Amino acid sequence: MKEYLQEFEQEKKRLDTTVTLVRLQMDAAQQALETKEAGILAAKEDMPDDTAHAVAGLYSAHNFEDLVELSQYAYLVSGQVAEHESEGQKIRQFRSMALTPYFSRIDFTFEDTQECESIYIGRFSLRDDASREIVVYDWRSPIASVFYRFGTGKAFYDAPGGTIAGEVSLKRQFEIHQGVLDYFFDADVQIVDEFLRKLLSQNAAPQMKTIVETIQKDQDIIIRDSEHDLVMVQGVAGSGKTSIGLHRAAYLMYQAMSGLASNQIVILSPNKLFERYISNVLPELGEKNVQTLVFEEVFQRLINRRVQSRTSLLEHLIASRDPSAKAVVKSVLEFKMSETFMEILHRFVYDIPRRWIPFADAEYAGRLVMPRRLIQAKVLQQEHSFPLAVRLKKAHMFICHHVRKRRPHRLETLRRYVIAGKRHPFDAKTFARMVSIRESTAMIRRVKAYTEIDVLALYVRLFQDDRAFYRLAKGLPLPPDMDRILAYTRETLGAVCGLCNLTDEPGPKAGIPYADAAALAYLELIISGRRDFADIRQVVVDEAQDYYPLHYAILRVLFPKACYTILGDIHQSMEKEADTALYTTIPRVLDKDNPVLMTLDKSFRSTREIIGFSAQFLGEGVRITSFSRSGEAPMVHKALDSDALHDQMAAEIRSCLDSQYRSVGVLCKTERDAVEIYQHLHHRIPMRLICTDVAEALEGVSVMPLSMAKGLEFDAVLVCHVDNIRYTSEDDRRLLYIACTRALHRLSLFYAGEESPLV
Amino acid sequence: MNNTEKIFKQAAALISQIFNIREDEIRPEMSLYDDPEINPLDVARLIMACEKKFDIMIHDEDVHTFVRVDDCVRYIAEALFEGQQSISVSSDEEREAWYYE
Repeated sequence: MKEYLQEFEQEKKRLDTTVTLVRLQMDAAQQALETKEAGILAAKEDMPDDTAHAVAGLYSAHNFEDLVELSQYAYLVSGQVAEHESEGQKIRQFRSMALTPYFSRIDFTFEDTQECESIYIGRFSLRDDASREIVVYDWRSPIASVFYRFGTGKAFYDAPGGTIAGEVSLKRQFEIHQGVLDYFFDADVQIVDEFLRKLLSQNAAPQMKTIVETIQKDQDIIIRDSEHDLVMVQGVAGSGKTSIGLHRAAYLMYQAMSGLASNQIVILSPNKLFERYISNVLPELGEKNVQTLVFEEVFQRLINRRVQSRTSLLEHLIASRDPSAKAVVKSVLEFKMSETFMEILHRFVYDIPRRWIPFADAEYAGRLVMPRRLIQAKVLQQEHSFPLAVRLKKAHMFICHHVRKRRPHRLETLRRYVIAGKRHPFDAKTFARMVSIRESTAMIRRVKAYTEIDVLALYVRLFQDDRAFYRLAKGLPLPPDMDRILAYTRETLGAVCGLCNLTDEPGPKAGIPYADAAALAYLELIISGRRDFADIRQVVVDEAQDYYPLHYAILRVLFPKACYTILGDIHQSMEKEADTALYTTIPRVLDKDNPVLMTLDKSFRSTREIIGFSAQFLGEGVRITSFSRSGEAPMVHKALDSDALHDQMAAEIRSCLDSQYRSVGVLCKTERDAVEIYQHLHHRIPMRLICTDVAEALEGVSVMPLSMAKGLEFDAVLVCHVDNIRYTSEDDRRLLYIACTRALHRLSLFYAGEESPLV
Repeated sequence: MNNTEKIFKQAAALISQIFNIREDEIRPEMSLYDDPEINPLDVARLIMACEKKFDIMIHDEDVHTFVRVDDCVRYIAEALFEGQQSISVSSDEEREAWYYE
């Protein structure tokens, strides 16, 4: 004990000097920031007042010199503004460091020099400029990996110059609050279980938090992997997949800082609610250069039309009581998102200039400019690596060129006609020009009918002609109900297009069906060759099991140069059955030759009891282990009728709130059920209904359909209506697994009538 | 004032003259082409006036894309830029055409 107190004093001193150093550097940065601000203002004042800051006039010929002159000033200003922003970022980091400068220490003896050094690890690095010593190491620095991967004893880490070996003689973890050391403890294991247990037993936060203090060894291996261009992680519910994905993104950004690579990151999340839930993690790790996208947004951006959201599709699938209608929607979805359909789309694009475009002779002023066959040949003859739209545009320009060559002659002819007609003797030139504009407009509209492609119209036509479709699909393995799929598509697309023609703003529920939107987005990408995100280097995909091959094909075209981190759990798919084949499909579709699959089977989220209960919904042979933390056993409540059910649920929610749980999730199978529960209970207990793609903080009681709850976590979870009507099929089994694994501490299930056979 | 604004101002002067509208009433989003009120002969006049004023060539098949005044302004700006890029793009017969007096 005496030893501990001595050490404690020393650590306290060390902490104080570190915090003082942080404060000093923060003040210096603050001052530098202020001088910079003054500098920017001064530089802006020097800029001539009459110059514009916009680039709109860039194409000017007259103003080119102005532009050069302006750019000299602008360059100065924009450089300073960038510095100013990075300075601001630094100050934010210092502020967070002044509260918790580091969280652990290792004493590492280097094998070659036999020197022992105390390494303090924190969220950001800190250097003493006077002594040039690193006071705190960034958790992403190479040496920090020793802390995550080894206990005391022999250890090594990979540095840019090669592997460095040595020995760990001490591992210490600190609990520091507001710049004051509460306590520390030493351990010889990897991450002290006590420490982790204490963190895990806390309540769920309304937003996801960083986990730098408690990264586990296998998690660390995934985070620091830089050998593979595609990292796939299969992890059970609560194994920290999402956290790992985000920390890996932060790690890769940190690594890229030293290189020349641009460090743009895109995160694909399942919905807006989830997007908001994870939005804090990367900024907390000091990374701002991140875009979060939902797939529907990508579709919408590419095809420029309203798109059915995935949540609404799921609701349709899960809530549907008619099994045959459900089966059709499901097989339509499965077929259109498959590799087979992708191949059909590729063949279609090849076929478009051959059979689908109504090429016509280009005529001008009553004479043939170019015969139809020649125009088509112009398109087919060009390099096939050019996208079709580009090749058509070239043919268009070719026709225009020939027309323009004939125009002077044509104008002269027209003028002579007008003069001969004697009706506009004073305005003959203008009149001739007007006639020329008219006939040229008509001519170019005829040309545009085949040099401009309407992707949606072509896609609709693909499904109108069964014979053409089967010709394109020749030799491919088609589903047995292909005719029904075609009929269904004709119907739905007809409805959508009918709506689109009537008004520009279709009703709120209308929109291109999800699967067709994906196919259209893919077609648009390969036809137009758009490169909206070509500079993105890192892509993180969460809930990978919910995506189909076509999703990954779209990613491949959108982010051609990126490295991928793909996180998923094949047991948590919603509307389809996923198996490990997913992890062979993804590298094939993404066209990555250096993939790796890692598995996480330890759940950190829930108590041992909850995991044990949830495991019954998993198939045979699936391993899920829990971090040893125990709590209350899950309860299944039976009610006689729905009124009693609501009473029981209200009582349970109250008891959860009394137990100081901050977030309570009331999960229903469908949106309709969620609305019903909300209507019955919200008078008694304040709660929130989360249905469509809203982005709200998850505090207090939230009622939501299961499709929205994916990826989230709650202190306590109530699963509603676990009866023999709602939960019967294999799909429902997975839904129950998803629902139960959302709970951290407390889980209860409710039903009225007969219990579901799955429980 | 930047270049686009300059072109807009010059074009607005021409429009006001030809269409008999007060210059300060002309806005970039004003409809030029699809308005039934507008006489196609005036459009032709405007096109010819712009060609003369800016010393550019406006292709007749492009005129239908000038739905609004700013479409026209953008076209002129681009034509000026292209003209600057390569003087010899247009052929001799084009430049000697009769309507370039």
